[in-house]
Amino acid sequence: MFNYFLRRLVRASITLIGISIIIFVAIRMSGDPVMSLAPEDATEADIAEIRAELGLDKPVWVQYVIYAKNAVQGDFGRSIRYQQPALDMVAARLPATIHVGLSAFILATLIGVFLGVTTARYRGSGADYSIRMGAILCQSAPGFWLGMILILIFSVNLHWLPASGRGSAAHMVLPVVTLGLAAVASTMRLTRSSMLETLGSEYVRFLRSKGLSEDMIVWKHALRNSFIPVLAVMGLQLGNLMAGAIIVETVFNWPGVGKLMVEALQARDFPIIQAGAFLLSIMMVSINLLVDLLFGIVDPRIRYE
Amino acid sequence: MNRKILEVRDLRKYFPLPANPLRRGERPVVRAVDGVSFAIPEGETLGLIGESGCGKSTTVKLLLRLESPTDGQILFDGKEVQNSHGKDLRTYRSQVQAVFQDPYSSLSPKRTVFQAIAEPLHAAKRFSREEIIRRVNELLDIVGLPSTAQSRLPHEFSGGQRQRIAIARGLALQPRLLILDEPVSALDVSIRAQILNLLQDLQKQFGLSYLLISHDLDIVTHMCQSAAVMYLGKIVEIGPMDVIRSSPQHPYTRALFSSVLPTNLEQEIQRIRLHGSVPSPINPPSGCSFHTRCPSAQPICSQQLPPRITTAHGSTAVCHLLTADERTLEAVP
Amino acid sequence: MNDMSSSFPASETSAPLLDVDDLTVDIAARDGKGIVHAVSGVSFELKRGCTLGIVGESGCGKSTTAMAIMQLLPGSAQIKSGTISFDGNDIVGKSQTEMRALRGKRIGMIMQDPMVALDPVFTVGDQLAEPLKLHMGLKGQALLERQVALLEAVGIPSPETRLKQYPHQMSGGMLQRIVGAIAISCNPELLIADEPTTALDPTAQAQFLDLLADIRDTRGLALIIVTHDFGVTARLCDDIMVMYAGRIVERGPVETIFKAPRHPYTRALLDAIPKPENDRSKGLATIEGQPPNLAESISGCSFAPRCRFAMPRCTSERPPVTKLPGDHQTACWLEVV
Repeated sequence: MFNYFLRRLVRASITLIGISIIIFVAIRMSGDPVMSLAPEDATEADIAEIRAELGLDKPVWVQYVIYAKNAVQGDFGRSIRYQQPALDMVAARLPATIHVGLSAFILATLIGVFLGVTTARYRGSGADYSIRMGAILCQSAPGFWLGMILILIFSVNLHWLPASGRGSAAHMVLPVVTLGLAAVASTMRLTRSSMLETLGSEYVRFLRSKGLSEDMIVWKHALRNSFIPVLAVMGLQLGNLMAGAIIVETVFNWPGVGKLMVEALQARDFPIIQAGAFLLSIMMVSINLLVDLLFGIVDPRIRYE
Repeated sequence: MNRKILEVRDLRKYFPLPANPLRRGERPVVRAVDGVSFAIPEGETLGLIGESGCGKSTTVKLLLRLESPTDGQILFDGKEVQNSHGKDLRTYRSQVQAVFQDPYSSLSPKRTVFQAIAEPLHAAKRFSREEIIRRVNELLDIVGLPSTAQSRLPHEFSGGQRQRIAIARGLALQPRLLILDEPVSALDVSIRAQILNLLQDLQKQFGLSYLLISHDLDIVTHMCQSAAVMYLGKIVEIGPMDVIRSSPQHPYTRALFSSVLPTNLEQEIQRIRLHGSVPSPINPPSGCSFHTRCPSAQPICSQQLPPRITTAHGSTAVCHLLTADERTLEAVP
Repeated sequence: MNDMSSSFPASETSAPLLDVDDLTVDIAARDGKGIVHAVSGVSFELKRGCTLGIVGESGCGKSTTAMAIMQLLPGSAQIKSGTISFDGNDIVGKSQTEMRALRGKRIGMIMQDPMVALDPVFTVGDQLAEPLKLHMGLKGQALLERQVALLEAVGIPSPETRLKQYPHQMSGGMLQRIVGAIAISCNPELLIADEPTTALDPTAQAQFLDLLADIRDTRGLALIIVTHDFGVTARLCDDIMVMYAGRIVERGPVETIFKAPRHPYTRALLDAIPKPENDRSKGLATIEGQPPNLAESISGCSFAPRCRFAMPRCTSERPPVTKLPGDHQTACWLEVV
């Protein structure tokens, strides 16, 4: 088990290095940063001075080394708009994003897995069909539309929930539901198909021959076996929910990283963009590492490989 | 004495395992085939007997050149082929074909019977369209299938019929040696008899040589003139089929034959019980690899590799407990 | 734990433990068109402590019959008619809840392929414990002792270590023995083994059959062995029932079937087995043709198209069951005077 974890850790580190290179290259490719930083009436000399100050006159690989060295120390430069350390700004918004993303994820997983198991077990019933129809509708509805509809119904008309901002528990409900609904649907469908396959296995027949109740077969045995493909997708889903909360954060004016990133992109605030991309990448890689570890726990065959 | 169509000398195939970065020392290897030698006289059938993990599948792959041997020689009609490539390899492959165990997965479900049988002829690139059509019809007739079968798909046929199609395909290039890997294990008893009879007829008709791999000892006894018994990558006994059947010398061979279920009730068979299970081919036991399970094991068996002894009956066994003057083992209780 | 065994009171030992009468099982065809008559009009009895072999080739209905006894048929299958009586109580009409009181407790099952019979993500010990906890209420030390005793009874060395291992860490032969241990764990009265040795190597096969014989003798179990291999039946069975195309064609004591089989199919099947005393230069006796399509209804005897003794009557009327001396019976017009 330890070997398995070690190998995964090494791979994760290599992935992060690769990501840092991609971020670095992507930003350089989006245009000369100096031109957008320099004031309108800058002279050639001014521009050259700014370039030197930012270290942009050095060869590319030198720039990368400096960038990487700084990144490891947490120094991504200062936000061009706000003149504060970029990393600090992003980090300050991270809790809000994690808050809404993680909550949506937990909700989606619990409801999605339960519905998936139930619809597989009672396959072909009326409930099975209606739940699956509902799932397709939820997955198809665009997030921003869904968010706005919910605001319309629950805030504007019924006055039950606040429309925007972060504060009390009530503020969380609509953003989490909007974000989670699509995730519920995909988790449910994946769990269902995995369960159906498992329930057709030979060992399930043997379990029945032992006289075990259907509940035990479904919830103890079949679920654990079906869970492995679901787990793989869930890891990606969590990452998506965090990084992709952008739309929800915008609709609900939720002060998270996503909203900050969108504004930074529009204003070409490179340090923020770099810091944000990097932090979100670390988060994704860590989540996937965690998922790999969970694989080893859930399926003993993997840990002995 | 017929000349040997296939001869294998000291064939070895070791698979290296992924190295563990935290542990030093040599990389462990799986000794799948560990020094195997046998010969098949032309026009005859050699049986390769063994249980799971003994290395017979790897041997088949080596003979079909799907894997390259780590060491040793494969001689086809006197010529070395273990390292050949290009034209020589193609020639070898056209003369050695195979029929596999599972008739349900050895034929592509999307291709018609015609396409399946014609495929090797197409690949050889030396037959015209007319020749191919003529040959496919000929082959269907040889294996006892109607000519109308060619436009149909495999799933329309039963297991036995599909195995006939596989045999037709194997014969397409007029090979001299056919490797039969458990050709009837997946078939019903009554169909097995049909296919085995067909194989015997074809052998007589075309002078084919067969290497028959099977764990069903009754089938091997019926079909083969000689047999080799494999255990953990090595051959432990080899010789004429009658001799091996009636007076097996190696303890493993005896245990194997004693496990054959009787087909008539009078047969009282003294079952030889083996203890334990097959050891791992990564770390085979020292000395004779069978000593951990052998009911007659002596101290020397774990210390030294056993010698090859050819008994007066004509079989050769690799065992410490035999001597060349054919003193055999005491009956095992 | 709800003890449902009170709805199945044990009766006297002379009555048969299992009584199957005119069983017919239909299975919906895979492509949705038509119905396959997998089992038609099967009747037989099994007394306590006796061993019955059900022999036939693929598609003859032997596995379906065995699964019907445990009510473990696939969803597409239906018992159309007939009764199955276990210890005097009809089980065809029972609900799944009532069947669960029988399964694992009074009827155990061994399946064909041990490599897929066990759940790969739970330890062997965990899976062995399940029926013990469920049917016998064992816990703690008593549970562990019984698990160890069971593994020893099936000949597995170092049982304590094995209990903590996972199925993928063991060989086929050992797994099949564990499957056997699970099947007998709660002292069932009937054990159904569906092709128990087909997936095993020859030496493991022999070991397992010895084990089955041993278990059967020490515990007085009734045993049903479903197999295509006559050799297996010779080793273990008191009676043999030969099936073809969903029907029983012959049934009788094992010596009778081997030495004096009456039905042409039984004889042909026995002839087709390669034997060492055969003349190698002559071919094996074969049965020409293919088994019939069970989706179509067949008039007359289902073996007639392949039978070398077929008469005109054979293709128009189904032969009745003829009783022969010595508890032997067969369904063939040749026997009807």
